[in-house]
Amino acid sequence: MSRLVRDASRRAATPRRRFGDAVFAWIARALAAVAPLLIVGIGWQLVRGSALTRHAFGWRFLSSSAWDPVFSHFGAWPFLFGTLVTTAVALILAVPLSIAVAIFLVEQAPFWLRGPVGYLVELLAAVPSVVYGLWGIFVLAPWLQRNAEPWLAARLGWLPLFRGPAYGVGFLAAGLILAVMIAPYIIGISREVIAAVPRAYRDGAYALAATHWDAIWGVVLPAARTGIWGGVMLGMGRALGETMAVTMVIGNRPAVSASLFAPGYTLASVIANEFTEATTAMYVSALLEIGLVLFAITLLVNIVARVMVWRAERRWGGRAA
Amino acid sequence: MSDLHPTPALARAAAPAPPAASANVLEARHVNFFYGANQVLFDISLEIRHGEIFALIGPSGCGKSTFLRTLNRMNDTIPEARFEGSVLLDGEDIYAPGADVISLRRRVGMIFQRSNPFPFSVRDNVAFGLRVNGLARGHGEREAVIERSLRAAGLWDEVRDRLDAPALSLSGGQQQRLCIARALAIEPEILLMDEPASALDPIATGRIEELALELKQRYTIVIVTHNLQQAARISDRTAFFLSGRLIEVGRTQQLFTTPARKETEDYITGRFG
Repeated sequence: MSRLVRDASRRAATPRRRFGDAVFAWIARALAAVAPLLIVGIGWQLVRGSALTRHAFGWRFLSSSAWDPVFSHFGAWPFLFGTLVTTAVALILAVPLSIAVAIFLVEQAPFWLRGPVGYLVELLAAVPSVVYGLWGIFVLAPWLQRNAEPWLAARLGWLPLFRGPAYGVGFLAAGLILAVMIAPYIIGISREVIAAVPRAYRDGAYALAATHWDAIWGVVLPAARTGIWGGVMLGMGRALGETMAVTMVIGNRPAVSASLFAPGYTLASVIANEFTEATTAMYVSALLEIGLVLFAITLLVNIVARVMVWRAERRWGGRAA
Repeated sequence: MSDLHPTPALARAAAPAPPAASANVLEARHVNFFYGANQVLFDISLEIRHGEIFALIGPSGCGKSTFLRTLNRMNDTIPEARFEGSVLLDGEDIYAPGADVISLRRRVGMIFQRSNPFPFSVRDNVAFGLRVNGLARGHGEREAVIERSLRAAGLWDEVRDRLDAPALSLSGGQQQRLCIARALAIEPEILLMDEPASALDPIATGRIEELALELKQRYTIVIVTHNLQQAARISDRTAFFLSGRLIEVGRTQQLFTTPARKETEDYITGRFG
């Protein structure tokens, strides 16, 4: 019996078996290399495709507000501005709300409520973005124009952000839609990492005469901080790149404005709207360069997120959730 | 529960031993405890006296840890758990309606079976209890309390140069002593220790035991242990639990040498458990 076992184990180490292992290892390596190659490939295509405008305008492409396809003047600043502003509005609205919802779901909601509410939140992420866009254009924008924006202007009009005519469609509408769209991601991840904080941390806090709030704010959230950051960055990535819903509610006017009520444009929207009209080589190059900018920003966000997570892990001793 | 707490903790610690009449700091009366329909403690009544080390022993699952956790209401956070009876702290029922669980835990600290420092720096771990209780608000005062607590836990010399290092980078024994320092920082009167050395090697265990004996000068200690030698080495009185019932309680030396009950004798001579 033991002899048979020994024979079997010897056979496992025959050259043919070892060859099989090597083949598998190489296949695995090749597949693992696909992802970085795709990233590099896309980046390279965008760089190559945007050569015309890059040479014609240089860095001015990013700072110029001219967008005149007829005379081949291209500047991406209004789109870059629109993307950054709508993303910022979305994060400012969605992050505190989402973390609060996650805390509620993990720490406070009655048990019977946690499952259904959690499921509904996940469903929010499954709604197609064009449906959000429809809701935005037919419900949200008119409401903003008639009710919310005049209200804000009357009370916060001393801020340049809330001045000017109420258009309905614009940065605020896009930011609100984006906030609703990214919230499920931030809630979902935050909920998981908050629930993953070891019970021992909570018990330790309670034993030190901490209130429920002290335990959440002082121990649970710091311990879950790295993971929550991950969720925020994921949401930010989505907000930067979201195209359809934003295109439907932002107004599509390439203009920079201090007012959130004003219509604008984003990097993703201009590509979606104008790629069919791009008949000249210059025009195509300009759109590809906008794609390059969007690609670079998204990449940068992810790198910054990585570095932050890495530094947080070092600081917390590497065991933070 | 500030009405339950007429004397400040510091004055209490500095005062000479109170007269015999008030020697019982904690008194459990007819405690029953249930997890759902499952009863785990049956009519437990016992007293813990001022300034003693009181050991709870018994086989796994006998309810000794559950009983310990009723003394600072740590079981409150467990859903489906139900408590009956009363626990008196200096004569006041900590389970009375309106009793404040936060000020209870200010007075009755707890050390857990597995050391559970927060994933913060050493300093922030000790400062946490001060912060949430609004103690030692000034920077200098806070640093002084942190040093005093770490010294009292016998950890100061090992961590004085790395107060900002992550607590999780300390060794297991150091982490447990940090948890003790953290509990001492808010100056409780009673320390509950739930098998504080069960996850530690013999040397670290020895240090925790020495520490318990030192802390006895200022604190009343209730310790759960499955280690009979440990109970015999450090405790003044011992209670033996079996299947959720209190079988016997008495002076440690007496309980270990001439137990009154057959079950106790069987347990300490190793016939079961």
